Amino acid sequence: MASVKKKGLISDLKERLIQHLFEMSGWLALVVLLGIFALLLTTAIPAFKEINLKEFFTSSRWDPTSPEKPEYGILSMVVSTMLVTAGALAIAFPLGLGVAAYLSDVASHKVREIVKPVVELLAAIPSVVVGFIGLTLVGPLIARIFKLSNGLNALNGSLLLAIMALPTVISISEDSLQAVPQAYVEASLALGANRWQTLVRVKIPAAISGIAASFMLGLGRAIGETMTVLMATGNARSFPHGFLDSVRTLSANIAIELGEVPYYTTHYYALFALGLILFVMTFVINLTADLILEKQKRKLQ
Amino acid sequence: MERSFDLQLQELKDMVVLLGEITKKAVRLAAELTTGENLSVIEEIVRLEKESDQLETELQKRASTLMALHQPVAGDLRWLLTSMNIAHELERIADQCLNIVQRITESKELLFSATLPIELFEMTARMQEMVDDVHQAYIRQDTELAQEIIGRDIFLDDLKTKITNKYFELITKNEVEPALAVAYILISRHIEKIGDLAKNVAEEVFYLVHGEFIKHRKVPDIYN
Amino acid sequence: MDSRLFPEAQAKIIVRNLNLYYGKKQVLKNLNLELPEKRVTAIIGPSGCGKSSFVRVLNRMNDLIPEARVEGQVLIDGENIYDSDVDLAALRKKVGMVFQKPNPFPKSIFDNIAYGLRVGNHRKPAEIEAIVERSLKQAALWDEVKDRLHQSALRLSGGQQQRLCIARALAVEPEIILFDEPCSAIDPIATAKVEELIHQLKKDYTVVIVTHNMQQAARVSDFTAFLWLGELVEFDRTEKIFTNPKNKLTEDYITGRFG
Repeated sequence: MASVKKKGLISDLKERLIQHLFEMSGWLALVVLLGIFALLLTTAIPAFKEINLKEFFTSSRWDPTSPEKPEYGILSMVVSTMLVTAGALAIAFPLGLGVAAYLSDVASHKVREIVKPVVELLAAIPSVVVGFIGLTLVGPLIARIFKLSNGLNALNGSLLLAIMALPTVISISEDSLQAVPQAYVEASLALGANRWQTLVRVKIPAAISGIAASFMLGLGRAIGETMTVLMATGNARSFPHGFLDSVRTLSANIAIELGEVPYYTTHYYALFALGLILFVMTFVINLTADLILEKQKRKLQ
Repeated sequence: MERSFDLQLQELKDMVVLLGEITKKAVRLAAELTTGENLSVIEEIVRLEKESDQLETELQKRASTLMALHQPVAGDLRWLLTSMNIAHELERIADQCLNIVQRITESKELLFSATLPIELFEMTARMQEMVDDVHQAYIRQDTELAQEIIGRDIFLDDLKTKITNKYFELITKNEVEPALAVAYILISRHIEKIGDLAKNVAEEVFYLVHGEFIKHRKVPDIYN
Repeated sequence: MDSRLFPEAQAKIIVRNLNLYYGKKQVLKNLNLELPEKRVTAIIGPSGCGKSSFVRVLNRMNDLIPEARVEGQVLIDGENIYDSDVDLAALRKKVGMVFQKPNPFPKSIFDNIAYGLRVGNHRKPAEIEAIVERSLKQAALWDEVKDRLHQSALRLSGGQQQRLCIARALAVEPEIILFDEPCSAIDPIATAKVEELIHQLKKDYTVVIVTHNMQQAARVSDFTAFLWLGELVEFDRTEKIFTNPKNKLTEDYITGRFG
């Protein structure tokens, strides 16, 4: 008769070891995240010994190297970051969702098998190459269309970031549309709905958490992207008034200035404060999105 | 595919055959008693009737269990239903044999001092034949034989009517001992009843094979 | 086909020389049968005999399978539903379907029922409300859900979900309802409720039910078709099939001797 008792110490140990290993890797991610946050925080705090908090957030003048009066206002950079990001998502999200819907619902199996890997390959283009395209191709095009002296502006940045975010949006949205149970589709069609109605009223709502995740990841990509925006947006420090203004984002500013700043100066610490702001922005956006999704999910259970 | 249901159903069929054998024997002995005035068979008939009772009860019990647990359909359903019905009819045949025993013991002095009417001789022969044949029809699932048996029932009916009319007349004319006449009439009725029951069994056999109820149809229809 | 099978009823669906192929595989072979109006017809047969494929022919659900190909005619009220000028949405409104697994949308109970109306002819909200209530009552679900119409349908039990799906199908006022093994994923008590419902439905609808549960076919249907390897072996009144089938294959299948 087969015994149901434990086989021995070794197999028991192995079981527990594996369990602990997984547990540890989970904790590791958390520790790294908290570590980065702590590093940013401790390096950023000294900046505020000399910088007025109110000025930091409300002034749009950033001139840390001014010999007379260094100024540390980040407002224009925060707004620039938001502008470029929002622009990028406004382009990438509808387009990406459209392509995803096409791939999952309209395209033949063959087309999907070809198009999807190609789209995913787009993500492999280095950001510096994308920036280069912005500098030499998209920029002059924008300049010609809008009759500007040059095309290095927020719109250029948004377009390029959109291209960079598209593969993520398409790939994940398409996956989640594919994952919608066929039973929903059948139920919808059986009630006399056409394919378009089924897509809009059943498939997209059912896939909403995946689609939202793709949006989130696209957002993360856009908000933190540095090299492309650095190359394509013109990097003007002034407050932007529209998409055709040259802008400098938080990430671009850090990249531009961190190489030349003397260590352990207020300017040095201030750049870390910028990083912290960037970090908090992404964190807050992700958290809010998560909460909204969670609420949505709970409503449907 | 061999099913456990088949085994249990086979046991049931075997029980019906056994019950058939018992009634056949009871009917033969009842005929002997009637025609041969052989009182020694009475005990055996009583015993056979008891046995048939027990067997029938056991069979109904098993059949209802099978019905509840297996919910048979089609051929299985017909086998089960007909087994139950046939068992019931056979048990009633045994009952009628016992009734004959009773009639004869009640008035044995009268009966044994008179000559048995020729019609009753014929009736006992026909009764035995019908019961024997219907047993065969069941075992062989022979619907032609079954139909023929159903047709034969009419002879027993006629003979019974004949005896009844004849002895009523004799009573009114005061040419017969009334108790004797009543005994003859009652015995003829019991035999006629056995014929009816054998006919019922034959109808069950027909249903078993063809899935059609032929009860209450006119005889000529059955041949069509 | 022997139309004397139901002298008392009209043929709602007439299937003529129907062949169905999935790619090179032939799933249904030269089916010919007539399904009576306002009666329940059960389709029985072993797994893979084509019974689900058959009902999916009746509302052209097989169109979803790219390699599916249909030959022959399916006439509903005299119209061939495989003609090129058939409006699929109209067909599927006329021929409703309830699936094997309860498949309510991840929406509220109300929105589930209203779905077919909303994608259809855009009725007024008051009308939709009335129809939702009527459909839920028809599906014997109203009393259980009337106080939580705006809760998610996914919170209902499996049996309730299946009745919701029936209500959802009823809301678009079909004439025929196809049930594709509607009770295979729900418990016996819920099954009994659904069966009772099917019984009620035949007053107003033509019902076709696919089932692998023969007792269910016996309980709910008036007519039974037995399919085997894509062929129609026997089609007759249910009481005839279950007491005295003509075909040996049918007998072997319904008595469980198949193997």
